[in-house]
Amino acid sequence: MALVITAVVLITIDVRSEGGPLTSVRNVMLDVLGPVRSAGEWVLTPFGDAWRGVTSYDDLEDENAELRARLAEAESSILQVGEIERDRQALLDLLGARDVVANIPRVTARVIDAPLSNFERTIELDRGSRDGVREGMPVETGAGLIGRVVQVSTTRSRVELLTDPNFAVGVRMVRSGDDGVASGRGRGEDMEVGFVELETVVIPGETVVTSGFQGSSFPEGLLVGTVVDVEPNAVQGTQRITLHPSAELTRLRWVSVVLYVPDAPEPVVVDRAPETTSLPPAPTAPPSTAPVASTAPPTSAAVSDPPTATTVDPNEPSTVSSTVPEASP
Amino acid sequence: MMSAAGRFARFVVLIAAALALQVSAASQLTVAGYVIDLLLFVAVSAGVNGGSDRGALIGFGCGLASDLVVQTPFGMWILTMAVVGYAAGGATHFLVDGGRAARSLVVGLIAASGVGLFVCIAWLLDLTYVTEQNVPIIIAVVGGSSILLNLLAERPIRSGLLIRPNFAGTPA
Repeated sequence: MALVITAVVLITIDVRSEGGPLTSVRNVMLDVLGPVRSAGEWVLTPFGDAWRGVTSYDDLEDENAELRARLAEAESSILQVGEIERDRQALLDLLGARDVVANIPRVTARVIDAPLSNFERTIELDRGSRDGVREGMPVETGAGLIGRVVQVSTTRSRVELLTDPNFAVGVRMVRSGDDGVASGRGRGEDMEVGFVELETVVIPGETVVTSGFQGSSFPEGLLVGTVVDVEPNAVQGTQRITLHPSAELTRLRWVSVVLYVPDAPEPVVVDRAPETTSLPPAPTAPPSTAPVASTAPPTSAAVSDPPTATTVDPNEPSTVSSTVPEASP
Repeated sequence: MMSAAGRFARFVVLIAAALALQVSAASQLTVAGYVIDLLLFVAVSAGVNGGSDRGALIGFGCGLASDLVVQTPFGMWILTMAVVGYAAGGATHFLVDGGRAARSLVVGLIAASGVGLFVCIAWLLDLTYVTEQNVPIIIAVVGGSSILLNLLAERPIRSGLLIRPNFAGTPA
């Protein structure tokens, strides 16, 4: 009975306190067990892969077929993408707009593909605070946002996926420019975007990016996903939008942690060059606002709607954004 | 006769070994995408082979080790494993004449029940990321793997718990 009472007390303490001493202990364990996990992975990965090949053969076949279909689709749209990208670059040059997302330093991390329990809601990365990773930082793959860092130890970190029911992020519809809040609905499910006004015209296929409100731990312009369904709710005066994440959230191997610090003295924001000045030169070098062990090339899409923020950091070089064009509806 | 401190140290080593194996080896070998739960197995096996008190104590230790490395609220696995370890000890009443196969079956059933109990606690705490998992598959994987593990590892577990080899329903 004493053990049960102790357990109930511990649950109560942990549920009611955020980031207490228990979190510190867990961070230490993450570091202590890191080498053990790495060693186990090094030894057993070939066996694990072989085992998965046997037990998941049908799934792999289906996935292979799906990937081939996607590849064919992607190849057919490359020409269209190139054309849209050139138009977008021209518009950005005309506006003198500068992109931030592409210039935020990133650190590439390997996903430790070995769940510790059957009820994990996070994935583990082999990068930690010594690599510049901090709690709350966005994590992405080349295809888009996958989640945010929720736990950091010296050498490891854990990432909450954007499909997690606890996950929420401010987003913007690229076409309409309207904002909303996207939240997860569970593993394998699409996200849901709320707080989008009924009058806003949202079309399935529309690209959705992070809105980067002031104080948000996500910068403006990270690609989140694509609208797949729109359902008006006349009673609430809003629309219920279903959003399919751009990034594939299963079988993640390598990801990039976006070293974005919203509370930095000079936060990185989209800015616009003064109208009286000439067009800014092409980008030269990314700024270094945080310590980076190794940086990955920027991969995310950026918002291509006209920038509104006017904060200008004189130390920031002018840059050009890289947007992934919207998919055809 | 081993001292209380010696027994405690032995229990700690057993649990630490189970934790090391869980994070290094067991996590690599998944069935249908789900992992076997060595710590839950040790807690249940300790109860079935060593009695209620020992099961609850080892279960508490295994739960503590598990809670230190997972993301669910701290104490959930402690509560689950202490309870199933204790309950597993009660199952020894039905196993006076049972062989290793019968004990292994009971270990599997109680381990599966442990997963169910954990999900129930998660439901009480409104942890949807737990309750929305494919619980029947997890129960099957954990229960089935525990049966196999007990068939293979009952002797080392009993040795680690200082249980006499002549199993007769009452722990030594």
